[in-house]
Amino acid sequence: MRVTQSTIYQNINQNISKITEQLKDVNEQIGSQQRINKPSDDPLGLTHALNLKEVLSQINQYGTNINHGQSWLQATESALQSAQDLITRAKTLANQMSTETYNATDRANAAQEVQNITEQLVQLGNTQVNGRYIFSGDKDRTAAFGLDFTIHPAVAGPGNDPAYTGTATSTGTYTGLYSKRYVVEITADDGAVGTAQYRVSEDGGVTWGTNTFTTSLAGPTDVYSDNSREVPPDQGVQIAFTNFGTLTQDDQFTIEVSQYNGDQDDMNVIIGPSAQLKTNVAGDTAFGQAGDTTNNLFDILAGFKDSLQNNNTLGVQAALAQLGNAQDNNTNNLADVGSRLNRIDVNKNMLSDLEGNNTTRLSGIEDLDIAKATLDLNSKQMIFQAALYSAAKVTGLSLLNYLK
Amino acid sequence: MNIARGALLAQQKGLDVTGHNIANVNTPGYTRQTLILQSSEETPLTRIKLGFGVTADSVTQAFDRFTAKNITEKTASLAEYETKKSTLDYVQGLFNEATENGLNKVTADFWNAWQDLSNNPGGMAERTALLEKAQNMVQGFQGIRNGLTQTKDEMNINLKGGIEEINTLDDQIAKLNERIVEAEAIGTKANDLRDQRNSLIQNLSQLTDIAYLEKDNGALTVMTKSGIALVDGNLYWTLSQQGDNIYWNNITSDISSQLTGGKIGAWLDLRDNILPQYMANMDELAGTMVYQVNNLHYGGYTMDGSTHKYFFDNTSMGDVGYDGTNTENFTVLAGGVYSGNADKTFTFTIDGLGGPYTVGTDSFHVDWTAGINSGTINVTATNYTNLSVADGVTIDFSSGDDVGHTDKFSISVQDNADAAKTIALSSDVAGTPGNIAASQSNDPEETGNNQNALAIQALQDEQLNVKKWTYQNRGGIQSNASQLGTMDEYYNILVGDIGLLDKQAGQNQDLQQTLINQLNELRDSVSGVSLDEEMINMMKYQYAYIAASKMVNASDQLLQSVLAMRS
Repeated sequence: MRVTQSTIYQNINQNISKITEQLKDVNEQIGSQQRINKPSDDPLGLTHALNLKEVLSQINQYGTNINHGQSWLQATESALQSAQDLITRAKTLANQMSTETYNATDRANAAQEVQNITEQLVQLGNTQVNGRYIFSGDKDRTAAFGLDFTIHPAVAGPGNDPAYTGTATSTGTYTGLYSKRYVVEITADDGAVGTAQYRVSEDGGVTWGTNTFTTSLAGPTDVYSDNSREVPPDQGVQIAFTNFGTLTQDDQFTIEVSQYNGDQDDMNVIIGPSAQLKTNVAGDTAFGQAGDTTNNLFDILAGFKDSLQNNNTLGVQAALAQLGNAQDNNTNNLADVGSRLNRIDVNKNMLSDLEGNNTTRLSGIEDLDIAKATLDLNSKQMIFQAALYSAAKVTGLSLLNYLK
Repeated sequence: MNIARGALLAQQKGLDVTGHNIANVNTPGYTRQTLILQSSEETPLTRIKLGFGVTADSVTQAFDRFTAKNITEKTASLAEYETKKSTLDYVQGLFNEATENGLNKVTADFWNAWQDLSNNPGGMAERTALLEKAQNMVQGFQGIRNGLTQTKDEMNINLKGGIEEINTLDDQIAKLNERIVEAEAIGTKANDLRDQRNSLIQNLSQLTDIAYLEKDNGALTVMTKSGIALVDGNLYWTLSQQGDNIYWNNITSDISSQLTGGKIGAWLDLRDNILPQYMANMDELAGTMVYQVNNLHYGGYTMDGSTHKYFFDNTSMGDVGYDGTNTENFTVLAGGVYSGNADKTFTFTIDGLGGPYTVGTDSFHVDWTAGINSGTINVTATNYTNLSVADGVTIDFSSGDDVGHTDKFSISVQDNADAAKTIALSSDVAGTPGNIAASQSNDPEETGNNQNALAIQALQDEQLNVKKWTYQNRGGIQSNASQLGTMDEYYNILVGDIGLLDKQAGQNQDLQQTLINQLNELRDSVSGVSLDEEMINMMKYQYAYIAASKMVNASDQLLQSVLAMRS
């Protein structure tokens, strides 16, 4: 084949520019320490790398969530632990005061201590993390417990059949000693705007007050029950039916009277892909629900205090047994929180393993093998030098050199 | 003496040609010329036949038509891939994903911000941070989408220049055709004019695929590969550009589909196929994001316990358009979050005027108190089983309504077109972080309710069917298939696709370059000037010239001797 000068020069040009480009690529890789500097460097690798980066970013976020959850659970644990101590103290007190060794004055003094214990429990129940009440369920800006009772809004229920179409509101100032859960049931409505009859239950609808009450739309009506004489007939809680037109027989409403102002909702954090962990214990789970005479710690302490004030040894003995129940309940909650904290530890380890794995994988895709790149650079350099050398040799060859 | 004179002239011409070759050693497109020498015919006068010396017959070109044609073709391919590669290099830079601030990163930040919010749903700092991250993501989408649009728009500017260049080249070729025909009519080969014309043809083939053939008179007919005439003899036809159309000879019929290869082919492919396809896919992703987040957000509750707030501007819901001939002196507002997955137009006709009303043929009930024909009427799709796409669409008749019997109107629900461009925070949440619906309870006291934030952040890992568009035939065929995966994966694959396309363009460019190099070598081996060869030729002619002059000398001496005999 005939080889001409322009062919030679063109070849030299192209070869040198090709090697220069390769040198630039290797140099860019070494400079950035990255194998992939633009999508076309390794399209498939980049897609993998992007996926992995996202996973890593998620893992990082899970870590943040877990730390948040951990701080809540630890605060919960420590509050429940303190509550456990207070219950133990109350139990010790009940044990002492149930014996005949102590007189009325001692019991009156002990009553003061029970009051202190109650106040400390309210304080524990209002534990905050970063300004949020951890025992209030979802109502984290509302203090979970108050020393006074709150009459909560009337809620339709608990029965489902028939549907509740009436509307009721609750008002009043509660004068009783214990938390309450009233169920109000419409027993008869006369079909006309004006009056309806209802009855009241204090045990969730198991037993009903023997008296029925007639209400009118005119205004608030006292809710009370004479089912049990323990509760005075007038406790200050009132109900008003504001939408009498749709109120029908068998409609039920619940009114809770309690020191608890939070709700029963869970607080969840995300600790992994579609894995959530509950970080709270609702206040009424921790310290007893309204109307629950055997487990509500505040009611038990109120009864205990009442018995002490009235020098009622039998009542003190009853309180001792009830405190035992409450302590069991608290122990269960502590165990529950403990197991969740345990789960957090396991999860943390798992995430840190995952993070390690994914970082290694990402590094395998993205990061530059320095040794290989350096070797590459050296060999490219050699090729470049050789090309330049050969170019210099070839271009120097001409017949002209030999013509005089 | 005459023989010597002829020889001197011939060798001198040989030197001229050699000199011309040497002078043009670096001229692109120059074809090596060779002097054809011929011995003069012998005189038949005597029995001894004597030659009459040499004459320079002609100067020919060492031209290989086949290789030249091949080079023309490959030049078009090379220019096409070069152009695609350089544009795609830019486009992949838009995605910016090898760095830390790509859309991938800001989207991950967006999802993480939802998780931060779920950890403290009542926190203003978390809410504000979420809006900030969402805004970053919105800008990420818009940045890529606008970059793609701009690149697409630039294609028309490029095309304008390219078409002007074609016209100029056609004009020059036509003029050269005329000169070559004139020059060769008197029998001489117009070698240098032909070289010029060849190099114009090469330039033309950089712009688009062309075909050409030479007529007997030396004129070249040039057309596009698809057969659109560009030059014939001394005539040429101009191309012109109007918007997205390219016209031939000012006939208003778009011929752009017939222009393939070269820079113009590449620009058209990019403008009508490659870039719109990525734009459509970015739109699908953004539209899915807007729809999915809004769908959950709409059902959630804000800090003050209100609901039905959008997180993103509700672009998936189209405007209400009117249709029909009846009294339409009422305004209809469409709302809700559309849960279908295709564009739809709902047409409503109000059948009667005694409530409740049936609207349309598919039993839409208007819950409308009798006697009132103004105010807000909610149309809900009850018993509407024929069309599964009706869900979520609500209609409000705004104040001043006067709905009448047989009134007709329609609502169009748009697809995700332009979603990546129009994506924006809704006016509900922009500047009002409290309106982020993190809660699923309408009780404003439940400041800790994070149920909705949890539901929304779970979208990050949700396997969704997102449409993936494939454009073919310069956008003439647009097909889509559902791609199952998370939104993040969809995006990551998209970036990979672009990288792959760019890589392929680069590989094709290398391949074409190699082919052209080989062809150039082949061409040069025939047509190129070798200096060594020319030096030898020069010496050859030089010695022949010296020898011829010696002959003059010898003849002269012979004559001198004859003349001396006389004196």
